[in-house]
Amino acid sequence: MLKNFVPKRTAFGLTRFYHPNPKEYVPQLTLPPLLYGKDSKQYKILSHSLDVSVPEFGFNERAIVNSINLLGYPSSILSVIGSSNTPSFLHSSTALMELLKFNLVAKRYQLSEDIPLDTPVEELPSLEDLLIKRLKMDVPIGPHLSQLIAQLSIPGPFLTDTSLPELHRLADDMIYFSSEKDHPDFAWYAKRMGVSTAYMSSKLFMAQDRSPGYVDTFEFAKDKLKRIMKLGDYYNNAEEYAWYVLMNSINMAKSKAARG
Amino acid sequence: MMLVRSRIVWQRFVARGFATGGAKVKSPQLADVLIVGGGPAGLTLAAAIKASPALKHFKTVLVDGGDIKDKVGSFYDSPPENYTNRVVSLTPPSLDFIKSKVGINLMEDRMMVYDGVYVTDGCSNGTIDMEKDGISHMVEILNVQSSALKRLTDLQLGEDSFKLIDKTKVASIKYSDPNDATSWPIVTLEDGQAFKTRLLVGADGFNSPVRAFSGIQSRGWFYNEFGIVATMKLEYPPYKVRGWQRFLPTGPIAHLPLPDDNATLVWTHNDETTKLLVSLTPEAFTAMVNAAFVLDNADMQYYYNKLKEKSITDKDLIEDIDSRIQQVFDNLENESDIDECYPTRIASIIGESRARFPMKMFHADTYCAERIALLGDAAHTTHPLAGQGLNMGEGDTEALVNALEKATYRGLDIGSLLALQPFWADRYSTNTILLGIADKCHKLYGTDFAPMVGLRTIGANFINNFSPIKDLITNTLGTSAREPIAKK
Repeated sequence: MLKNFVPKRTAFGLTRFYHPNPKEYVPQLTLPPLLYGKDSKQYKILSHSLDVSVPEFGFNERAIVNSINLLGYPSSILSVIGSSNTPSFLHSSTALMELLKFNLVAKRYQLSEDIPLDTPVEELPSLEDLLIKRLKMDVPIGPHLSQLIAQLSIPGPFLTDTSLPELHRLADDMIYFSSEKDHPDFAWYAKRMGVSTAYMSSKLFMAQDRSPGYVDTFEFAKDKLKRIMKLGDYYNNAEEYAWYVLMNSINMAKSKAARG
Repeated sequence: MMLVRSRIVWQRFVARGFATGGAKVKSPQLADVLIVGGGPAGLTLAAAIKASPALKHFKTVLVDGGDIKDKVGSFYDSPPENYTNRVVSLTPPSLDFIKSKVGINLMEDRMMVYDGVYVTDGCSNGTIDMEKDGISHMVEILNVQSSALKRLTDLQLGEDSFKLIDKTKVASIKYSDPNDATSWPIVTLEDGQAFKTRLLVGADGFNSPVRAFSGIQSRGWFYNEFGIVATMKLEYPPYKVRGWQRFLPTGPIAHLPLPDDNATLVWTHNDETTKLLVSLTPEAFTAMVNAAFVLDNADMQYYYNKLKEKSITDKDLIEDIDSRIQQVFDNLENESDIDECYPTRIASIIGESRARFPMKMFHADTYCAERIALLGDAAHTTHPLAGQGLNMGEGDTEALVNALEKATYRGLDIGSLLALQPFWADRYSTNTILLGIADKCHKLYGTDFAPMVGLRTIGANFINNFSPIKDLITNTLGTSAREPIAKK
């Protein structure tokens, strides 16, 4: 993400800081938490399988193998793709885990690709726009969504290390790259939880949705987001009221004590 | 000593050099009390100070940006035929203070005393019938202002006793010694006049410059709603002179009596709908007001949508409303219920009397600081649904006058915090109660959530049939949360 705004000359140390600073380092070539960048073989194969093979075969190893064959790579590359994941009896193959992870991470980066970090607030898209944009990215793999969600939510290390953190990073990005007001207090967490909830429930709805072009899903998502934001308004009003009552009580006590 | 004086002369010389042609800088004149704002609270305070044997020797200056001398002054001698749209309710204790303590003779023929308020729920049949003879009076704000001005004129005060400067705004306020908050503030006006005052009173409304100068925080919120006011002509003078208030989920609507066949309206709605309602023809607006007191919220929403789309003509709208109102009346068990449960129908709206203003609730942390006192809307603003705004202002004025009198008897400096604090102590809790009543009613009736509607209907009907609570509410509102006069 940082590579978008770090100019090369500072990266090569024209400005030095006393404390370690990411600006001093060469921009990352990978898309964390993935261990490879856009120019890598893994990226080519996995994005090819998302675009071409998954819509046909669904989320399973056959989709990856199909892409490897179509792109003319040796079949041993399957083990390279899966190398960063721990094998598990309860889960799919390591290469498939990587495909699931790739699906989440790559699409999250795509979401903010065309929004430079220095965009003025009034030109930023709304939160609703970004939510819909992210949901639309999954339209090609729509029929296989329940399979995807099922695999992402198998209890275990993959859930805690990849699925959930990715969901939270997505919610964070959606708020950060949208015109939505952000908060430096506890509302920071509340808002991210709210957006995550809206996204996940829309995704579950989408998995069952049979309407043409998923129009119902987008309606559902907009409505859900509005309801959650309204809940936020209720909370803010309640907080404002509680603060008023507190200050009012203090002033009341002061006024009683001030009687001359 | 010479050195100091020559420095002052030099500073004045420099100041004159920098002053632009229009505004001449003069050395500040001295004043004991400088009141910013010539609204009802400011003018009543000026009259009260000048009418009080203990305070009348204080040199008082009143500054206002509007046209007080001509516009307000002429109202008393040659009032317009139609009633103005800014009408307030004045409860007996406020009226008692204005009349007996300050000696103001209000224009009685333009006031209307009424005997209670009939409160209904727009979502159910919940009703509270607060009946009390002479619960309050409806008075035009201009009536209060011009009568207070008349009182001041009648006192025939010299320039050195009372000075009214109108059509002039305050340009700046600063302490004469910037490092000492107890030093006399210097108020510079737009025309270059400056006053160094012992006590600075802010009666200058919600966006009070005096409060901003004092650094006193004001807390509260905007309701995201606007009120529409208008003067209405009724079809015939009402049989029962009382106020009518209906809580629709979109905001309360109130119909309050004026003499003869006149009445005044306050209707709260969101921004968009108020703009729509103000833009309607007077005939369509009249029909909508009649509808709002009788028909369901669903009917009203239907009309708003139709009017928004401009898919209904005025004639159709008026006919449709009339027929639906008739349906409701036909379903009543008893024909006399029409006069008992609904206000007299409105015949027309007086031409240009429709206006809208934002609704808010704010309360300042304190009403006084060294050399500063805040009065009326500068200290607190409220939703008009309980009709307490002006009464709170008059109550503040009375308390401030009492505090100043007591301070004078005791030989205190009237600008000191010690002299002013009793005023705040006296009013803060009362105003908190009144602000609270208006705000809670607004919150309680601001929803059409079914369980809430059910609960509040049970509550309202219980209160209506259980006189101790009903009397408590009626008395609190009828006395603006003060002691009734009879007990004094």
